[in-house]
Amino acid sequence: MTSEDSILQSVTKTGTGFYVFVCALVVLTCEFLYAWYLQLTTGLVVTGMRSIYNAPNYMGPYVAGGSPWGIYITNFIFWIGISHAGIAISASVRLMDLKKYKVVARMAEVLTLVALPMAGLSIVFDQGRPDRIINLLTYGRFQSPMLWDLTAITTYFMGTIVYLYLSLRGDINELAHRLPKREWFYKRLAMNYQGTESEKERHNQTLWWLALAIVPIMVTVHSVVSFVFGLMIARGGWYSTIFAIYFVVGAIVSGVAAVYSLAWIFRWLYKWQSIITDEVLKGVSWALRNVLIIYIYLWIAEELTTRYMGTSADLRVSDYLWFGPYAPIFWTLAVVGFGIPALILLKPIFRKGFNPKLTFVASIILNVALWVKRFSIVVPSLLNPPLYPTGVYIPTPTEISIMLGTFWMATLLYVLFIKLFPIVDLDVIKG
Amino acid sequence: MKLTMVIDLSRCLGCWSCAVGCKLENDEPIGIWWNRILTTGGQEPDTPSGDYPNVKMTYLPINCQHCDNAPCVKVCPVAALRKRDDGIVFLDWSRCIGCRYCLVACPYGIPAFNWNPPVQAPDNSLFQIGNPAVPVRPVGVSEKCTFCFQRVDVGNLTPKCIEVCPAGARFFGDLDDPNSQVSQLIQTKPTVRLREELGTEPSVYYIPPRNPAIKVQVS
Repeated sequence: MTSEDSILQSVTKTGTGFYVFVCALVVLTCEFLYAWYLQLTTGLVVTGMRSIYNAPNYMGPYVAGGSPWGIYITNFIFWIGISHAGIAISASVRLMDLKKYKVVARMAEVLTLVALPMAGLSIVFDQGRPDRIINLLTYGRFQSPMLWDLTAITTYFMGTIVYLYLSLRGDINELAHRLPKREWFYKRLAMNYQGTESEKERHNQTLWWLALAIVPIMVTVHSVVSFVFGLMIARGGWYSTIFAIYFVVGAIVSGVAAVYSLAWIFRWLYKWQSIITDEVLKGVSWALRNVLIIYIYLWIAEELTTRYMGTSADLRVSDYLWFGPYAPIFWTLAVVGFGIPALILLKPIFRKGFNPKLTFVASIILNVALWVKRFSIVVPSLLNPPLYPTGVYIPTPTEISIMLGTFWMATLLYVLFIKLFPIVDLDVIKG
Repeated sequence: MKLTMVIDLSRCLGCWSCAVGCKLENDEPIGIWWNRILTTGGQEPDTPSGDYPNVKMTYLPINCQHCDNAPCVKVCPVAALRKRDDGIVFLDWSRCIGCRYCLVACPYGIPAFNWNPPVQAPDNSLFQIGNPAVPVRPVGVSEKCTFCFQRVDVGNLTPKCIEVCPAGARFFGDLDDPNSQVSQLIQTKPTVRLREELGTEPSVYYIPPRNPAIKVQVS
């Protein structure tokens, strides 16, 4: 089997496992749709989120206030973080001409493409009036960081679609010749692409400029997500200059980790050891290691600033995390979520030998850890409002179903993509 | 015109009349209070501070501070929260998309959210309790104190909480008018505003208590 056939087996061959997997995803998505239906018909009361202040109950036990934002917003930050990797990796590979890593470029791009709509959906879930979402366009005010988010994310999404299409166009044309059964589909999608040298040259040139534009957009996207919190002086633990950098680095960690996981899964699934070599995986893991170290450093700097001379509001949130009810989450996060992956990734420095499987485990842990980390940034600050007593936030099953729904849909979209298009650029294999 | 409220904490009894009057006037649904009375002692209502027997209790009635530099107006993505020329910050229920950014940004924890379709007690369909000028809010929007603009605009009335306070602890008026009651109070008495260091410039002034409302000394 040539390596091109090997790449195309994801498109051409469909086993029972695939159908079982897709059916499972569809069932889970239906469960999510039902949960969302419940939320739309009864209101956000089905979630565990509550206002800052709850009315006193003189007749019964004390009712604490709650957190107005919860796992939907956490999920939003998470998906934006994941989306980072994609085009960012791909664009840097193109700009710096890192030929070796072109094999993982497309899986990263597709990741961005499926992650961004999920981030947008998470925001829609969070709205009390999703039917009025159009007000953001008709009455939108640029004074609000939420409008910055909207602008940056839609720009990034458009850039991603155009970038992915242009880089995919040659392959679509190729597939039109190779798969006569689906020729009608690919031919229309290729939009009269002939595959001549001048066409390729022009596409490459456009893609280079697009990549140059996309890299700053990608930094902007996660910076504005951080500004949603980092500009809010009202709560402890948020108002700080470090936030934008902190969020951008965190996003790159989760993005690169996700790309590593995907690359490893494809390599294991389709036995692509000769295509996605150990060398490539090692390179990605080195990038992951470096950004992870920067992230941990920023985290320590942030904690130290708060603990040493934070304001009373900051210290209240910090105490809540370090010694209060969130201490188990916080310390597990620090030790298991970040400590262990850091050790796994640092090991090749001291001892020779790179273990792709162990690094895969580290990359999965890191993504879970970063989701929880975002949760521990959003919720404790909201549960400890100055002037008010500490609140309680417990996500309900409905809320969790809706949150998980984004994961099922993202996987489903990704799986459908690899059934239609090659997940590794065919040009890269040709050399 | 700059509408301002002054609350004399020495006079506050912690009776919740302002909160109840406000709730009736503005038709607030179950679970939502635009006016709250916090105690400085602890989490539960009416909690004194200090260790027994040296305890004291002060109340802090808190409603929207109608900040001149309002964080909620700044962050609202659809301009549902706006500030009027007379200083009132109000929320337009017909425009709110329910993102709850105002709940997150408010340093005083004021805006409340309609998590479920609003339920009035007693049921509003039987007979009208609140002011008919206050529109019925839909599910999924935020709401907060408006300084009773439906009363202030019509007939130059004061907000309901001023009218119903049995201790006369609350005052309301125009700060631009040097002869108004609030201007006189602010000139003659020491006043503080909540979390002034944040630069939000609230329009609600508090006269700190001279004596704690309740002081228990057991020998």
